[in-house]
Amino acid sequence: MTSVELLIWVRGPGLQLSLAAFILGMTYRILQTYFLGRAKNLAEPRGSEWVHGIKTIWWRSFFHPGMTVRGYFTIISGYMFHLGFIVTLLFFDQHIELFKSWTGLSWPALPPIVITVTAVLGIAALVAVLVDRFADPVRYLLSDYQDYLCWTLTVLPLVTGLLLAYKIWLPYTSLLTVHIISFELLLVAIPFTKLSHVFTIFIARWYNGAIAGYRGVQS
Amino acid sequence: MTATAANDHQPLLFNAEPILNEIRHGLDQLLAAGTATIIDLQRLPFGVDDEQHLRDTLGDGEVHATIDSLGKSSVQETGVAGVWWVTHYSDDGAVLGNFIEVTTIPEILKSQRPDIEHGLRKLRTNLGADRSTATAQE
Amino acid sequence: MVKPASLAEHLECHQVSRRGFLKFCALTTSMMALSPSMMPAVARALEKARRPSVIWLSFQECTGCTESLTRSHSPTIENLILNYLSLDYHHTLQAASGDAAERAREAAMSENYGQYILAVDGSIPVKDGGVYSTIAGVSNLEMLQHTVAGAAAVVAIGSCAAFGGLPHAHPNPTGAVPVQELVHDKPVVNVSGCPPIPVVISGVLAHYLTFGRIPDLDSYGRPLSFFGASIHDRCYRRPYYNKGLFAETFDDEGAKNGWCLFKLGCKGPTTYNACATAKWNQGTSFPIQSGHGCIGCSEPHFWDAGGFYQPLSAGIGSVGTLAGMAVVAGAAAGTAAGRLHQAKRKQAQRQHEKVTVADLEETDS
Repeated sequence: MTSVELLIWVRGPGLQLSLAAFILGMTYRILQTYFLGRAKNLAEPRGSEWVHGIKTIWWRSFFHPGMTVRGYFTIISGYMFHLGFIVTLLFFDQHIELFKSWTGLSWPALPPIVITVTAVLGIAALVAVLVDRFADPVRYLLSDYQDYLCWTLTVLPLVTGLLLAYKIWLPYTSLLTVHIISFELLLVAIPFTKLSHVFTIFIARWYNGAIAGYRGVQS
Repeated sequence: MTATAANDHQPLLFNAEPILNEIRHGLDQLLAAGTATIIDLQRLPFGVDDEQHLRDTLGDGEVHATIDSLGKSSVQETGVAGVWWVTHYSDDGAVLGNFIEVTTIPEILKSQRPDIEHGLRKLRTNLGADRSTATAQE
Repeated sequence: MVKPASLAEHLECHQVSRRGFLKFCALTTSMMALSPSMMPAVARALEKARRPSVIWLSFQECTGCTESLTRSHSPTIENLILNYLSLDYHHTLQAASGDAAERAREAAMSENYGQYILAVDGSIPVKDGGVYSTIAGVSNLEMLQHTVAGAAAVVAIGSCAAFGGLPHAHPNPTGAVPVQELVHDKPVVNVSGCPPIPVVISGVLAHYLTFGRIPDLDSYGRPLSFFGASIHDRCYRRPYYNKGLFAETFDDEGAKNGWCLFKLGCKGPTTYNACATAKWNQGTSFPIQSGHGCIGCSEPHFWDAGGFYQPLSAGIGSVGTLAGMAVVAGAAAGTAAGRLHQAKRKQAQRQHEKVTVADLEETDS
């Protein structure tokens, strides 16, 4: 298979199959979680479960002083990575073209230079947390192969995308192919690894918020 | 062109600056070692305003020559002495080649040895013919 | 007429001076996309160059490649090159037809056996014994195999001959294949493009004429001097790409300002060709300069590489059906797994029995 044939495959069947795997996996995971069910609470709630559930999904995204007793490293690197990754994914014009081809929706892009900064910040944060994972004996002991797999699958699209944007090391065709493959691997892996938190975190937050919103029994 | 009209205040340049720098380097070389540099402008991708920018920056010099061999060619020294603009045209006036030569005189302006020899032969033949005519008249 | 032995003599016959020869060398060097510093070497080689015979075979093609060549924009110089080549067989251009034409081919082959250049445009259908395209009752496949045997080198002209092109596009009903899939024991130069740039065709022929061998090739067998850089790398609109300034439609402000055409489907980044420097239509412009994105016509399988107006970063083909199927399958599997889990839990609850202190003491002992 030549590099052109490979690119046609990854842009065509490869992308369709990985997106299908992602959708299938996520639907499976979400429904499976839903059917786990919650113990029925027969008491009338005093507050609103739904409102608090939704509020918590939103408010938990922000840092509140006093949220940590273990220092700021995890918090700062965590925000840096997540914001860097999401902004790079959603606000680079070429990515928007992909989402537009899938959904018909599009939105304004950020200038490429800003995207370069967010991607570099994302990579820097990922490197920092990996170093920390090795340096901290407790974290090191707690880590298994899936943590390293997820780390690799997450960093690859950022690194290959940066190489592609500046045409470093390989010709554009090869870099584009590698970049799309790295994205497809990530798509396939998300539902079946702890990366599924991209969706399940909202369920978990809603559940937490809903419990808090219950506020005891209506009397 | 629409593109130019919309960008009147801000010329669209792509390769003009690198070429000007290559010319500057070529002039250094010419002064230091006497080496000539030829830049093939048709091998370089140009933006809409690149060629005009080059012409404006280099200006117009003292020598304008036209060669008529295998179509017309124009050889012009630019306002920067030692920088020549050589353009070759086809019979119907289309540009075939566009070169900048950094040299004291472009090779193609010089008389070429085979042509000189050919000319000399022709002259000798003519002179011989004249002499024989003259002898015959005596 | 006695054929001139070398190019120098040929030019002398045309009463071209040494100065004219120098000009010819400068333009040929430029045509071959070589550095001007190569000019003296080109001049030395051209002085001794011998007149090569060219046999041109047209198979499954649209004649666009020949049209392109005959409209090459530098008549003086290219005519000299092309006149100097002995184009002994080209069924579209030659005056002879029918049996006479085929006899001319046989004659050129036997006179120059092992020496001639074989130019091919069009792909070769091989399905069902190659019956889908024949010339004078001979299948393209057979004619190629017969003619290539005595060739010194093969120049595959156009994307059909180089990569299969349109006939090879999915579902390829005639089983069309490019020249390089059938010719393995002769050097093959691919001059791709739909059509190829005329100056690239004559440049390759000039290279063979000058140096007596084919030029350096890239991994797809294309001459590096023309196909060494992508359209994107040589594009004057590249600065706009770098700044993220794109035309969104063909008539918006961005299009009028000459911004990058990536979002309108330009395949420049993955396409290798010399359009930005060689240009088209007597050197007027090239597609991007005229406001249309590159369609990638010099790359293999360009007909199957997605829509011409679909950005490179978007996928090929629609994802709707497969995505819908994935939702249904995921929902079914998720519901089944959830229900199974619930059933298990209920069963566990049914089997649940109270444990007394006595039971525990029993177990301990």
